[in-house]
Amino acid sequence: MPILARVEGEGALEITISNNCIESLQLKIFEPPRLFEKLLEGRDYTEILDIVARICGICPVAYQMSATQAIENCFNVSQNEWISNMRRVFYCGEWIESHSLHIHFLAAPDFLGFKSAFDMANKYPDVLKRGLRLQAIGNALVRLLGGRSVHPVGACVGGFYKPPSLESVQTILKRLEESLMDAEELIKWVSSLPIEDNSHDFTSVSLFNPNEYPMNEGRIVSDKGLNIAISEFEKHFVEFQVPYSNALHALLNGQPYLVGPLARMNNNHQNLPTAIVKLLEQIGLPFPSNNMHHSMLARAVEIYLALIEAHRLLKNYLVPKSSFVEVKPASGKGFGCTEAPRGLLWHAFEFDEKGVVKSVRIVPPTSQNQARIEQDLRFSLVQFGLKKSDDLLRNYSEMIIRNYDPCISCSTHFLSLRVNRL
Amino acid sequence: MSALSVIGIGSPFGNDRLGWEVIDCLKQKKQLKYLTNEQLDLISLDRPGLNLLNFLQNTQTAFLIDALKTGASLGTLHQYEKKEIDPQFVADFSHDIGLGYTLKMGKTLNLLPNNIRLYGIEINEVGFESTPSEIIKKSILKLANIIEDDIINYFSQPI
Repeated sequence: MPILARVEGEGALEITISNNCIESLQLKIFEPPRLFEKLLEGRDYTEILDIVARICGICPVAYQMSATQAIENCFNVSQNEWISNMRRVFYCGEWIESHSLHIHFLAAPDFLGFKSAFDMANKYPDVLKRGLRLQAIGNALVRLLGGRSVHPVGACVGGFYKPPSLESVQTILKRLEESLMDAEELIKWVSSLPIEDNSHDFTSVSLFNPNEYPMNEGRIVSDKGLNIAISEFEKHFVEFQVPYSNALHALLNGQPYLVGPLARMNNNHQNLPTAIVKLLEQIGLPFPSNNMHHSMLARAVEIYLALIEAHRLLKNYLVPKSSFVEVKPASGKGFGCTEAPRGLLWHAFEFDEKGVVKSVRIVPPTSQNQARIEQDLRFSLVQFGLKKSDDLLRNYSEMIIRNYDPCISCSTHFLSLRVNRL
Repeated sequence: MSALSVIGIGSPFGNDRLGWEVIDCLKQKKQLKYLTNEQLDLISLDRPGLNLLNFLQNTQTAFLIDALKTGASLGTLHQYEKKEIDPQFVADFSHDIGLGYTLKMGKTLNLLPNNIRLYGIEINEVGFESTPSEIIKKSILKLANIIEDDIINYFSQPI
């Protein structure tokens, strides 16, 4: 697969097939290493959020939220309820716009047999218009708190530089209410798409919070019994370099694992709002699911969840006396872990007594999924049939990879398909 | 909804700021200050992607301004009408697949305004400076004057 289309960034896939078995399979990432971890060394803590937001154009909020959590953890800063709520609203915006873009313009064409979103737009214009409406409300939520939707500048360590006005919140509340029907219709539409049974065993890893569907806060859990504080990440998860890719791979206790919407849904579906549970019961609740093709449905559900949550958190909005708490730097190490649209995003920062960065580790979700994607391809391509033509293998491989919505520009800190038939 | 939206598309980097800088120039033009918000909207957008279509739905006519790479000499001014918009052609704009993809999708979904005009300034590289290069700055001033005249003509004789 020379070029992987409809993913963020650049990547390629090389498969060696012998006696109808996959001898080797390598997902190669071409984007050069970003080296952000080194760039951040020597920086003052006040510069971090603006820098990490630029790691990814699609998920800047996630990077800012994980980083600020790590910084505040090190400096022993406590957020108040207003800040916690607004950070969750901020995150809702990013989930909505990222998931909407992925579902409508990247993934849906696969399931409907279209080569591109343009071909799909001719037959399903109203579906794509709905996607644009949902993406717009997501961008509006990010702009409400971040000042702008691309590389937002409104978040700071300790909270936000400026609180949204009551008027701007009232305007967006109305738009949120108008969007709920779109989100419901989207779930019904996605659940009606033809989906093959691709079920196979894998481990789902996500945050878990007993009080809410997790975005910003929680412990790290798996559906195989893991339950750890975010500070214990390095004891269980190992990142390593593979020779054929710029993106690092990650393993949990030596095994690939899944992060992202389906993993979150598998671990947290019991914490969905009642309205969503009822809707899913109507269509036949598929979660927990070991079918990666249910990832798109998980994203659609999360869009609806994020709209409901943003509305809940904003409906009694009051302008606070201050939109941030006092921050005093302190030496030490801090950890942050939040749920980017594509999955768990873990940060560890070490500071000196002045709040200058001494060392950083950033583990993005897409690199955590690299080993899982290769594991999935090994299973799925065999199930699909290795004797099929290279073109068919390419199309199917693209579809499998796109389930993960890989943000390859993050996964390098992303097709050309080459099939070697021996 | 405004009658005419003039949208400068850009990013903070070097020559890629030119769309925003043209908008800043237009905001200083005395002759345009008598127009109301319902008549004229001057907007700067940072890498809007598909979100651009939401802005285009709120206007009857749109003038888009962006950096462009066609192989012409540095600083060359370009101007294209709606009927000249071709996906391959528009892919030459500096927001590359972003703007071309967006306009093609807008056309496919019938979300583009009745009238749309693209203005571009030829660049060679984006750079990481906080301002455009001196050659591009001169073209920015020229383009702002052209667009000011086009705005005035629009309200005296709609296109």
